[in-house]
Amino acid sequence: MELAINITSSCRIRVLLVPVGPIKKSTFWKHVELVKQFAVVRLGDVTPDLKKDSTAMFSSQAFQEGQLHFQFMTSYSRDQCHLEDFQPHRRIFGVIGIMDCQEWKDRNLSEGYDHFVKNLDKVDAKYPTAVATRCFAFDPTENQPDDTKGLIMIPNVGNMSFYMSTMMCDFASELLNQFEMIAQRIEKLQTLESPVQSSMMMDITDNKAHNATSMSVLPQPSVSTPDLNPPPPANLSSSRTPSPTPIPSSSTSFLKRSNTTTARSSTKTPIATEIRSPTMNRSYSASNMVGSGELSKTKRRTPGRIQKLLADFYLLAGRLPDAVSHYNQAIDMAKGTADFLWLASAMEGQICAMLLLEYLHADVGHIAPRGQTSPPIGSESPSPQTPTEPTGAISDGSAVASSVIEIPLKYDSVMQKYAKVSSTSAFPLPTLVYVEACLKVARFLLTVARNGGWNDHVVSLLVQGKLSDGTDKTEKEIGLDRQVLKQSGVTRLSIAEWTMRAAGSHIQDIPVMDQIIATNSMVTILSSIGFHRKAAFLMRASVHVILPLLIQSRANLSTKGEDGRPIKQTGRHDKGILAVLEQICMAHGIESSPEDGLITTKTLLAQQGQYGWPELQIEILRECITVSEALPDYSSMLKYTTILLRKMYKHISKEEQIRLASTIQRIVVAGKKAGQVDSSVNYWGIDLVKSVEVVKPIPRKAVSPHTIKTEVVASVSDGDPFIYNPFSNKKVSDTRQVVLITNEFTEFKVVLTNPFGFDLELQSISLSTSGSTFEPTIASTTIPANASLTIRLTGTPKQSGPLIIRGCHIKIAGFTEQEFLIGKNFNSLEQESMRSGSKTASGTKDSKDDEQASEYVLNVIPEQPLLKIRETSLLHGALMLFEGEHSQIDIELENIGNTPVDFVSLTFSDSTTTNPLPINPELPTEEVYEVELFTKGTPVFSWEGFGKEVAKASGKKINLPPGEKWNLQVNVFGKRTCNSGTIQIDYGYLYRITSSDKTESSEQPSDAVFYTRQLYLPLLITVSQHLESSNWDILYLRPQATVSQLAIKPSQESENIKASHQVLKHATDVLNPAEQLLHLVHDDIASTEANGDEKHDYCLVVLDVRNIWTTPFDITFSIDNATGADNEIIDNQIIYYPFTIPPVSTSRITLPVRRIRLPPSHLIQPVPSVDPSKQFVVSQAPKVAPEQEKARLKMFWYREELLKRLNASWKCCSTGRDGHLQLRSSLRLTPLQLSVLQKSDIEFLVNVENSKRVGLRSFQVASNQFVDMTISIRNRRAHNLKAILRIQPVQDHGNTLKENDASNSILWQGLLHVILPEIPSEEESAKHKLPLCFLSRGRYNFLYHVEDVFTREIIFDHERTVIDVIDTV
Amino acid sequence: MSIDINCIAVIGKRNDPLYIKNYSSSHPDLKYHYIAHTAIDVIEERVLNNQKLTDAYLGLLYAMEDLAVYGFMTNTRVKIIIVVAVTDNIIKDADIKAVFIKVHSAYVMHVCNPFHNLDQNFVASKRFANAVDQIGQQNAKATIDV
Repeated sequence: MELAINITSSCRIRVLLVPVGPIKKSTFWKHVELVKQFAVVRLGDVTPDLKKDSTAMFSSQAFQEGQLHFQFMTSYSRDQCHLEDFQPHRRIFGVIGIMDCQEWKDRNLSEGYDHFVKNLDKVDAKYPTAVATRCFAFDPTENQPDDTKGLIMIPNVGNMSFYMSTMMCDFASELLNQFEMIAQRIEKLQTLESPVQSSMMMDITDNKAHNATSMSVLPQPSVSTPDLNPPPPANLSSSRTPSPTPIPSSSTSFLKRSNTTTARSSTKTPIATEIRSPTMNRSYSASNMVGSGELSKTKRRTPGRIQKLLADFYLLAGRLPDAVSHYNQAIDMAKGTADFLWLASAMEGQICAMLLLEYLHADVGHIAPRGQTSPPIGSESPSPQTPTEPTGAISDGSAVASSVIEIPLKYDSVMQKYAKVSSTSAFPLPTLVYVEACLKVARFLLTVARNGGWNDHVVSLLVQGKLSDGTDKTEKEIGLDRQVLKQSGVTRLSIAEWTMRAAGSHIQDIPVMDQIIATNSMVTILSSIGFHRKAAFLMRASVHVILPLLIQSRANLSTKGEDGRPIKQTGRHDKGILAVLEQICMAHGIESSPEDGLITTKTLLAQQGQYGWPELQIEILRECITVSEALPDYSSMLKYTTILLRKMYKHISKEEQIRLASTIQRIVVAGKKAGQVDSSVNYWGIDLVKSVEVVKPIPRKAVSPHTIKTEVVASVSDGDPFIYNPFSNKKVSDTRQVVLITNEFTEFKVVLTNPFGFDLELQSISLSTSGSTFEPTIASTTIPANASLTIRLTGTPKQSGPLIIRGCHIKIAGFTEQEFLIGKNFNSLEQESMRSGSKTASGTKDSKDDEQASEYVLNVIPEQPLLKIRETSLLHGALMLFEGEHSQIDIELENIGNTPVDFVSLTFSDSTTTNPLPINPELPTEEVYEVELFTKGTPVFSWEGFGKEVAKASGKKINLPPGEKWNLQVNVFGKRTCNSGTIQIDYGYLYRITSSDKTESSEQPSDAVFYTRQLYLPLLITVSQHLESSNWDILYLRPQATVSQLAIKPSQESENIKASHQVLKHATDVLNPAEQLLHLVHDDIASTEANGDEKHDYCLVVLDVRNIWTTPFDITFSIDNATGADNEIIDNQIIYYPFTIPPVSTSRITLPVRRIRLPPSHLIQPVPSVDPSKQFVVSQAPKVAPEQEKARLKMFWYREELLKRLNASWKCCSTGRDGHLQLRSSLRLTPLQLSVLQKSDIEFLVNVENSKRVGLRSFQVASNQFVDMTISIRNRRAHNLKAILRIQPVQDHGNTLKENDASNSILWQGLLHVILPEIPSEEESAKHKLPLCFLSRGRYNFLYHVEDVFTREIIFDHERTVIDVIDTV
Repeated sequence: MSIDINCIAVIGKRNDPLYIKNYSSSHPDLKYHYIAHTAIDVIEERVLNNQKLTDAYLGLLYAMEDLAVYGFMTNTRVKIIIVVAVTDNIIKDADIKAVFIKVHSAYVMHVCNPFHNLDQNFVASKRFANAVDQIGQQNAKATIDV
């Protein structure tokens, strides 16, 4: 359907097409389309009225090239009747009835025709202006006689178009005749009134009501057009009596149908009523209470007006030259009388006529104007020429392009004239005329713009009233091509300006239907030039206008049930309105529906995207809701309500949100009833589910994956150069994923949010998953307003494999169940776009997170066994230990799962290892060794399963079927400062027996990953210190003189009596160490002659042991005095030394320990490290000299050796506890002590021949006798020794009196200072013999040392040689 | 000055409203929302046709009934729209321009605030509101005095 308001619309003859029932709607429309094909009739084809050929004003053949343009309409309204006298093209001149013969098969067609005629008669007021009528009967059957008078049968065979065109020409001919009559009448008129607008305004409401009723009463199948956008112009033109006149029946207009009865018959001979019109007119003007001055003015102006009307009729009749000349006259005359309204209108007509001329020129090429009665100009030129116009513009055929500029200019002046109307005339300007004029220009410009400038094509389009060819694209889609626009030389702004002139509050003055038409045409123009916002604004305005009509028609519908219009019928134009609403929404950036993907291609709208104007959007959505409520269209109502709620909830008050939410439910219920709304509506676009996360299972049920390879290997194979890498370690702990287990209940933490201002009641909520089967449990909850809620949803996986968590199925109270996916929320989109302004690296990270969130995949593994600790030997899970105590814990496990356990592994941790003391890197290595030994070298726990050997983590194959129990023992060691510990039991079912294959089952554990579960047994440990050792000392045990022996004996014996007594009670065979010592000494003395002094080289280790506990403890020291090499006497070498320490007392313990000698190679070994996997760190300890370093190493190794030899255990008789006494921590060797403990490298052996050996180094010789003293020096060093031996005899007088110079009493041979021959290493010795002769009695001491000639190191024997000289008897 | 400012609107670069304030009592707020919204059409048209636009002041965008709509666009495509009631007084471009510059500087001051979030949809600064209100009311008052 073409747009009504067009620049050439004033040349169209309106013809109403009326169905003559009964007729099917589709058939009617088909025929309407058919008739419409003959909208243009060439004047040359019209049969001239033969009767008055020469005189006929319109029907003569004078201007053959002229065309009649029919505008066929199917509906009409009477709103514009007051303008019909002013602008004749608004009037309906003809009525054509359309019959369908098929419906009349069994009846006489004449009946139908009679009905049609009667209808015309009866409703005389309905088409009062129609001057010609026809009734076409389509599709006649063979047997239907074509005998009805006045009824024209249109056969559907043969050359129908020829037939039709003939008929149309006939029709045109009649029309032209009628025109003539009307024109004659007009010429006779004495006064001609301007159209009265004011009266319209007075009863505008009344008018509206009339309109509405008239619409609803109409019997036509379609009141309005299928598409609302360009509504039919037809609706409007009818002649209703101007309402102010009290006599409605008096059709005052001269345009009144010439006669009522006769004219309708095919013999068109108007007779009687000719005289009537003027009188009526007069009465009409009289009835208008106009002042006499006004009346006279009107009379003065009348001739010009008559000229204008005649010109209008000429224009309608297609006789353009005549029209132009008459217009010129009219313009001149109107100017003279300052009749601006008519002047402007005449100018409009003139423009139209010129355009048509131009069109015809293009069409025909030659126009022969003939029979022009009065035109002074224009007769000589066939081209459109109007040189004397007040606008002053001369349009030449050659300079056609100027028309583009010219016509708006002319219209500008038209507008000026219109503007003057109100000031010069008593009657104001009819708004409709003004508005239409504006729109005409706008549309004209648009047509030009769209088709790229002024050309013949554009002219023809203009005449046809089309914007474009319209074949390739629909009107909506055509964006304005910028290139074309530029060519055309028309700016969008100018088009918009013209359009907006029409808009404004004054538009409310014109009748409702015209308002709708006007606004819609504005919308079309604006949207096609790309002013979408303005278009939307006007669209909204037009919807505003339509809305009351809709509501009214609804109301009528409900009251007049018998009206007979089914609802379906209205559904047709409902769609139109809904489409308009959608357009409005789109222009305001309201996406119609998220899942539609209806994002428009228009860049403008795309730019708007998510943004928009919340206030406007809310308002528009509310309007949309109102409109769809009025229709009522439940689905769109629902749509807009949900959009409003979903997108605008931030801007709406809480109350309204609640109201909307309740409305939704109401709509759904109503919609379901009406069958419009599908029961499964998805309208909660807001994502309620924010996140879903698996709740980590309780530690007892958690499973941990293991790779088959050991972790160390794995880490090395990773290509990591570090044995310990803090980063890689961290990664492992982070990516530890939660694994679901088949047939085990799993919990999920779901975060729900409610952005609305009301509580959301979730009737049911359950997890939605895909992948392996999952059995969710259904819960229900309520999310409070504007809050988020964390709930736990549960479910059971039924099958192993990957499980994808998609989101939740939620059923909100009153609505259907809907799946809400994770991560697809619109809010995040908004946030994203908010952030987009400042895109940072975090942005990409976020998006990654989103991806992860949207794909939440979990792994489901086969069933796993479950163990339980049934009981332990502990009381309250706590354990009290003495330091060094060995204890044992019994643990009983029970398999409470459905799967057997075939693998168990224990892992221990305690407070000392989990939180080890930080090691100061500046500590000397010995200290570090001590600390490490404490933290790592002494485990608190050990597993009985692998014997005494410390097995920290290792597995064991067991077989524990479901329901069975199993015991295990764990050793505990009382370690100082340990206060808690954990026993971790890993277990699993590794060697699954698959039904298919046995080899497969054996292969199974070699899979990359197997899973174990853990049991934790936390222990509270209290380690009490009960015994402490201190005050270590090492003394040289001199196996010297009997004097010293005797001196020691009583003291030692008295000390050890108590101990020995106690020990002897239960271990009689164990000798008192002191006694043993005596034995040894005796043995040594006895064996002195035989074998050097190897055996009697003892030292005495002394220490204090303090009992700070409240019970006595039995302590047993064991001393391992074996000298590695002497295997045969090993039994004797271990000395046990038991004794008891009473509470809170200290015992001094003396232990004879054989002096130790370590080979030099052993001493240069570095201090070892306890932790084998410790990373090498360059020592940060202060650098020391090599000698010092050597000394320290020596100290370390001797200490280690001593601790190896000394062992102490304790036992508490009352409690039965036993353990190990820690000696290590209190033992600190001084260099002096070390020198005692250590056997020296250089050993002196002294022997005196012919003497009585009293002790190791004491001899008895007779005086005045020659004796040989042999000093042999043994070298145990690693290298050869070249040394000087110095001997100094000293006479001891007793009482510390000593005579250093003993030369008086001793004779010796040779030198006291001798250079010894080089002594080779490894136990070789050199002997030096010194012959002596003592001259007097007494005691002589021989002091001697060797000095290394190279190092100047002096080595003393720690004991001097004593020789007692007695008189020879 | 004799400009009867009915409304001052600041529109963001994405054509979303940043600030809109009605100073007249004759029309509802929503009308000005619509006016400002439709003005964007015209501004876009102006800018498109005039690529080398140097002056931020866009002049009269369109007149609607008794209202005249003036536009101004900053370098950052923030649009300022002022709706003026058409009175018998002749409105000088210079006067309107001065008002625009005032509003613009107020906006610039607001944006200079380091705590201002550029992507925020609506300007919610009291200070900015006060500044704009002052401009709007001052002019309104001036009209009354005249």
